[in-house]
Parts: sequence; C-alpha cells; structure tokens
Amino acid sequence: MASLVTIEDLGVEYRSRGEVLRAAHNVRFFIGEGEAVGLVGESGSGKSTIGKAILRLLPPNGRIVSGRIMYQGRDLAAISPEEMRGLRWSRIAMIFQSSMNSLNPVYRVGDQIIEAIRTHNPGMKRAVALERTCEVLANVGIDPSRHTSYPHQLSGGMRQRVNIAMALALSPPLIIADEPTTALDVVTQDRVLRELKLQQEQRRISMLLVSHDIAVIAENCDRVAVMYAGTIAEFAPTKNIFNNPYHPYTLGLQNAFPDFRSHRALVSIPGFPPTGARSRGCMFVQRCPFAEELCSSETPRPTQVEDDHWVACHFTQRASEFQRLARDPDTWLGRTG
Amino acid sequence: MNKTNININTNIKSGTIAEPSLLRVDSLTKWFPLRRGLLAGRKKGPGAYIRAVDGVSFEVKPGQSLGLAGESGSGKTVTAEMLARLQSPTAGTIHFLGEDVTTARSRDLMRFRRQVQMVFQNPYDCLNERWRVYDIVREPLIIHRLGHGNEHLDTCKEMLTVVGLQPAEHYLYRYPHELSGGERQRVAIARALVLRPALLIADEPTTMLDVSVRAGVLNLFRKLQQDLDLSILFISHEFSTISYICDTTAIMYLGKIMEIGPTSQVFSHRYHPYSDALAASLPVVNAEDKRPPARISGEIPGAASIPRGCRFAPRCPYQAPACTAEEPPLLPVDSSHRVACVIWSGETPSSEQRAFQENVLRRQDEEGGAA
Amino acid sequence: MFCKPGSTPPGRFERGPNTGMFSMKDIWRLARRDRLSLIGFFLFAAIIVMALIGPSLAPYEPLTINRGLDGKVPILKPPSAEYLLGTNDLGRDIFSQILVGSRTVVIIGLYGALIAAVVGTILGVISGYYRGHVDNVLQRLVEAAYSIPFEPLAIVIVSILSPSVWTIILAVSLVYWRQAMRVIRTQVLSMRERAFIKSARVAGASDFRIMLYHITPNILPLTFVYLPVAFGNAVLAEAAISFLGFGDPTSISWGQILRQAFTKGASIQSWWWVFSPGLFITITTASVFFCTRPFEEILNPRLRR
Repeated sequence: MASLVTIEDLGVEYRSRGEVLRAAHNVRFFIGEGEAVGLVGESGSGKSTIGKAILRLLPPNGRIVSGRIMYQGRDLAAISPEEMRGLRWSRIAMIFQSSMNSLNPVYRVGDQIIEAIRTHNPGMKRAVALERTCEVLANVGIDPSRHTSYPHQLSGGMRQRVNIAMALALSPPLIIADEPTTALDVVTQDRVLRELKLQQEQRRISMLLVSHDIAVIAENCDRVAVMYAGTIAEFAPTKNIFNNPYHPYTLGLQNAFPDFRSHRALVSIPGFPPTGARSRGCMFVQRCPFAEELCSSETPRPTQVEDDHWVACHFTQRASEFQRLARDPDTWLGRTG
Repeated sequence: MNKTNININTNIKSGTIAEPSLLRVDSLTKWFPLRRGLLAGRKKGPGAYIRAVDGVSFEVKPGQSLGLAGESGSGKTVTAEMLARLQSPTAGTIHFLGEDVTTARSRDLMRFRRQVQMVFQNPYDCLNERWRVYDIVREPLIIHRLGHGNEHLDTCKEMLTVVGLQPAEHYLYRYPHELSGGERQRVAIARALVLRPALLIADEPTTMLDVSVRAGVLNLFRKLQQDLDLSILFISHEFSTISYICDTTAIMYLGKIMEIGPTSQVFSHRYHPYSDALAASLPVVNAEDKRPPARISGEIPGAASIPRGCRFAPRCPYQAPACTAEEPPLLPVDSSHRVACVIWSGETPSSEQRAFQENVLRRQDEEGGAA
Repeated sequence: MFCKPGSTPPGRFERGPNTGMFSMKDIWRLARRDRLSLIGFFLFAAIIVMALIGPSLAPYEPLTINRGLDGKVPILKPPSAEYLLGTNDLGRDIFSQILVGSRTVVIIGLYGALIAAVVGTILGVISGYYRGHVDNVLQRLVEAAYSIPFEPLAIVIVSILSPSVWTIILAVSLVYWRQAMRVIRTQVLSMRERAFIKSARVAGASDFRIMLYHITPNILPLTFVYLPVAFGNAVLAEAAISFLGFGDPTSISWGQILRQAFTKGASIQSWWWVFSPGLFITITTASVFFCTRPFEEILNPRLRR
C-alpha cells in the first residue's frame, strides 16, 4: 500500500518558563492512502501534538525540532507558513474536539462552508458552492435545508457534523481528526463516528484519528500507533495491536480497560504517566514490570517485528512470554512508580 | 480498619420495614424555575420549569452499591447533589436509616453528614489548592470535633494507606499541585472516608482519569466495598465502570428512571429500548463483526421541554400511540427488576414491540443457558 | 470504552493543574512579563520609601519662612541648587513640602486602600457566597456607592466631622470598597460552584468556615491585585479634597500645595509651584496603574472571554 503521509523521526518541543519539554520524540509512522490510522495515548502523551504538528498549528511556544513530515512529495515540517495555509482545508482538513464551538455564531452554517469552498476555488459561482454544500451536509446526515441554520440552532452533535461536512467539502486526501467526538454523548458519538467513517471509506480519504478511547480507535482504524510519553511505543495493524501486542505498555492497557460485556478484573499499570520524554532510556521503564538495566540506559529504537508491525522495546523476542505474564495481575502489582 | 461505627439496627425507628434500607428515596424531584428576563418575572405553566429530576425513587441496602447511568442531561448529578444535601429537592423525600433527612438541619444534618460523603468528578477541582494533603484529609475530623491533633495524624496516615497513597508520610505534607490526577482523586476519597461514612456518593469519579490510572481507582472502590462494607452510589455515563462497581443499576433519562435492577441483568437483558440503544452505541474493542447501528433517533431534548407521555417515545424505534398517551410507571418485570415502558406493561404490543420483547427474552434465555 | 463528556483529562503539561485560579506566583509571573508594570513596581516602591524616610531628609522645615544669606526672604524663587524645586510666595521650600507631604499622601493611600479592600473583600465574599437576599441587599448597597459622587460626599463628611487625615480616609474607604466588592463577588460566585467548596459543605463545614478557610485564601491574591488600584484612587481623592480646601489643615499634602499655588494665583511665572506636586501625584497614580496593567483581565470580569 502506498503511503500518503510518512512521519520520520519527528521531534516537537514546548518551551515554557525557561523549561524545555519534549512533547514528541523520534516519532515515526505512516498513513496509507485511503487508510485510517489511530493515534491513541493518555493525556500528555503527545498525541494531539502530532496532529497539530502535521497541520503546523502548534501553539507559539511549540516547535518542530527535528524530523520530516512527508506528504505528497513535500516536507510539511519545512514548507513556508504561506504554503501551509494553502494546503489546509484543500489538501489536509481538520476536525477538533473544540471545532464544535468554533463555528462563527453570526453566520449561517451553510455560508461558512460556502465561504471555505470559494476561498480555495476563487472562480466558483456561489450557486455551485451551495450545491456542493448541500451535498456534503446530506452526506453527514444533516437535512440540506438546514444550511440556513445558525450554529446555536443546532445541537452539539449536529455542529460536529457540520464540521465534518466542512472538512469534506474540498475533498481533501487527508483528514486529521483530534478527539472529534469526545464532548458528545455515547449515542451521538456513535452516530457521528459512523458518518465520518462511512465518508472516509467511500471517498478513500486518509485519516489520522487521535483519541484517548481505545475502543473508538479499534472500531474505526486500520492501523494504530500507541503513544507513550512523546514516543510511539507500538505501531501495527489494529488486529495485531489487540491480538498480538508486543510492547508491555500495550499489554498493560489491555488489562486496564473496563468493558461492561466482560467480567474480568481490571489491573492498573502502577505509577503515573510521565510528562514528556526522558532524555535517555525507554520512556516506560519506571512502570514496566519487565524492565531491565538496559532499559534505563538505552533508548529502544522501533524494530520491525512482523510485516507492518513496529515496536520500540528492547525485548521484542520475549513478546510471547510477556503476553503470558501480563495476563497475571501479580505481574503488575508490587511495583510502584 | 473498623467497620462503620454505627449500629444499623439501633438507628432504625421502631415500626419500619423488616429489611432495613440504608437510603430510601421517594419521588425525588428538582425543578428549576425558568426566568424569562428582568421584568417578565417567572413564566407560568408547564414549560416554566426545567425538570432536572422528575420523580425518582430507589433504595440502597447497607453494603450495597447502586449505579446511576445516563447521558448528560439525564439529571444524575442533580440527584446526587440532592442526596448529599447540596441542593434541596422541590418535592419528594430522602430517608437515611429510616430517618427523614430531606430537610434535616443543624444537629440532624451534621449526623447525616458523618454518614454520607461525596467525591466529585474533576480531580483538579475538588481539592483546595492552598491546603496540604494532611489538612485536606483532616478537615472533616475538625469540623465534627472527632479526636485530637495527634490522633488526627494517625487517622490520616491510615486513610492515605487505605486509599493506596503509600508511604503516607510521603504525601501528608504535599500540596495538590504536586500530585497527579489519580493521586488527587485518591486524596479526595481519603477525605471522604475519614469520617467512616456508611454511604459514599461518587459522581463520575473516574471519568477524568487516564486509562492506566483509572483501573487502580476502580479497584480501590471495590476494595472499599469489601473491606469497609461501604455502600457506594456510583454515578457515571459509562456502563463499563458502573458494571464493575455496582450491584444494582438504574438507567436515567431526562430526570426519570427508565429501568432499575441487578446490574448484570440490566446490562445483559436491557428491557428498556433506551438501555438497549445506549448499550448498542458503545464501541467495542475486539469486535468480530461490524457492530450494527443503535436503533435510536434524535438527541436528548432539553429538560425544559419534556415530551408528553413516555419521555423517550420521540426517539424510540418501537413507539406506539399508547406511548404518548400516558407516562408509563416503573413496573416490575421480575422480583428485583423494574422497567418503565409500555412494551412490558401494555396490553396489546405492536408487532415491532413484540419483536423487541422476544429479543430480550431470547437474550435472557441465552444467558440462563450459559449460566 | 472510556469516553467522557466535556473534555479530555487535563494533561499535566497541556494545561496546568491549577485550573481557573491564580496565585501569588502568577501575580509575579504576570508582572514580570510586562516591562511597564515592572517600572510601575519600582516607582511605587520609591514613593513608599520617600514617605518613610523623606521627611527626615527634607533640607528645610517645610513651613519655615526661609531667609537667604543676605537676610532676604527667597520669594517665588525658581528651582536652583539651593531650593531644588523652588520656593513659594512665603519663601518656603517646595521640595521639602513635597517630601513631608508624601507621608500624608501615602498614609491616606495605604489606609484608604486597605480599608476599602478589606471591606470590599468581606462583603464580596459574603454577597457571592450567600447569593439570594443577602446578595440582593448588598448589590443595592454597591449601586448606591456607585451613585455617590466622591467630592460632595467627602465635603459633607468633612463638614460633619472635623477635617483630618482620618476623615479623608473614612470618605475614601466609604466610596472605594465598591470596586473590590464587585470584582470579588463575581469570583466567589463562580468559586462556590467548584467541587472543593461542595466537598467542604458535604463535610459539614459551616458557612463561616467555608468563607474563611476555603474561599478567602483563594480570593486573597485578587485583593492584593486590587490594593494598588485602590491606592491610586485614594491618592487622587485626597488630592481632590485638599485642593478643594477640605483637607487636614495641620498636615501638608500634595493636594494642599496645589491649592495654595492655585489660590495665590501662581501660574506660568511660578510654574514650579504647580508643576512639582502635580508631577508627584501623576507619578504615584501612574505607577500603581502600571503595576496592575497585567491584571486588567482579572480585575475587570467583563474583559474575560
């Protein structure tokens, strides 16, 4: 499968009050054409940072310090801000958790989509843009006649759908969706995600779905990158992540995950996630039940363990042993972070 | 660790029911008046109120835990705050250990507060940032004039150990901003437990925690149930956490209980179409096949405009004329399970409704067969 | 599954754990970022030092009629090495008057601000915490305070009581508590909905305890930020009263120097007599307003979002 986006050794730093925080470090993964890739991690793991870095929408105190973001022959990390501005919406669309509230309250939602379309197609007639707007609204399950509604007349779920419609309006090859449904109720979340997924599959759009919710990622993505403390712990097809995980963190997450359909006991990973990346060694070393000396002295490089399956762990050859031990709660107890 | 230091039987007034209930709530109601602007005054008529909680009744037995599940806007937090006596009900009563505490004041209220404590959703908001952990955990003891300074220290250490903050000395003199979300939530729990309450109200206590930390806090609740014989009223919009903690679950929708029964039954049988839709909307980690979409339409309306009849009817795929005629009461479907739906109380269900009914019964049989 | 309504958990570096509140540390951090406010801090400190040690540094007795070596009274001399800011029509040294007068100004400023801030904080906390009827009554009181023009009130008070420094302080604090009260009330209104306050109520804490131990410590930084504003207002108020002739006749203040200059018809010819007190009043008030510039947003709730 040809990859549309390739991220190589990406590093992002934030500076605040004289401190430097490595929010992303040595991040590498790719998004294939027409594929949905999930970026999952806990708060502070840097998952949103990656999304923002691709869009070059990092906050003023953040910057890309290393690596490349290759997209359609261009390095997004190196192009000029003007060039980037031209790419946003038309080549890379975005949906954020906050987009729900980012619609301009004084304009009709249809006009906002038309505006977006015509900015990128200067010659286009308004009627043509309107037709296109109604079409994308219908695609995401909104009655096209609602294009005359103002944002406050729509519910949260509807507004997020309008955002998805806006993202689709210019038929971009890539969509970055950062926690697009986190603020919505379960019923609405499910419906909005279904529409997003359907459009993504039908139009063969590539998507980076950033979420803290493993189940959402599992249902909607072809591949998953598991982030921990600014690094990618494991990157593999979704099936592999859930059936054949190598990284101890991925293994720990599986035990920690409540599911009302099963009755197994939960096991938490001891300790707390660190903020940002350590300078040396494996990021997970303090909480890992299998850690050895090597883990704190040397940073593990991502190793390819199978086709399309990369793991940043020194002991990938012991994966089956880890998998067996990880199922036993005692493995995770007795160590404090 | 001692068990709760109250003797339940002596607290029960003579003449109450045979099996003592720790908490009994009858038709609890909270309506907020809608103001329409400075000079217009209060609106009159049925649309004049936001009916946040609209007649909720349930019971918690000693040592049992009840889960309140529902979407945002279902009234579960307002219910919790009324039970914690943070808001006063518009109507209805709250009985604690047989005693009416709905409007208890001064001494009676203080006695109630010793028995019922609460933890909140946001760990970054629930601790006074200017206080050290020791002062935070100790405050209830000072308020209730229990023990002396040196005893407080021991009690606090013990409490911190109970909630898994070990070594306790390491945490006693730290400020909240030095702690992570999981640690903060544990401090909040320690504070709530320091009075050895019989009932802990937990309002979405794990929603804001990270996955790897959340499991630890959930396990802590389980441990407290077993070791302290603590009853927990657990409020969450997540089926998974409720099913992990609670014996009984109530599904709330727009201020009313739609279904209440033993947790395993509520989640597996799902007598109410709303419970069924909620469960069907949850994403699955390891799905074999694609999950079919949930059969539910629209979004939860505001509590100011509650539909006539069954409040879920407009979104219900099995809606029939009988649904909008009258509000269905919460009626038993078996000894411990009650549902408010015409499908189970109506005389003549429609064919759609009958199909749903058969579906539920089949699930029930399958479960019975498996067990 | 583990989704949630509202927002993602606050990451420890994405958002600080100290949500929605600000502390003394934040005050310093905000102030340090703003050059002008730093300058304001130093100027303010200089004025305070001046009030503390200035009077003992005064080269002349401020009310003495000086005589030169030639025995002549130096009437309306422009600034020179001998008389740094010149002399007035009675041959008194204006520089010495300014130095000695600074103490009166600072005393009125500090006490006035302190009383206004303390009263404003207490009433703000009570009003915001109790809401309902208490709030209603107190809000009407604030509106009344806002509708009273300061000068007429001061004149009435001074004519009922005797004209003294303390009378002026009373007048100042009677009027300027309103601003602090409003700002603090708004903060308390939102703070009382926060979980740690609810937690205190559930624990059984009395209203008094909650206000004293939970709300006040968290609101205090705001009071501190408000202090300089009140100080500036008090200084201006004192100048106005003294200029109108209702000041304390026994002590020198900048407003009084201005008044004398005005009543004696000092104008372009003896500009130093008008200019010097005016300059110091301006420096003082400007310094405190510079100080508070970074906190504008906190002080004026309307600017927020």
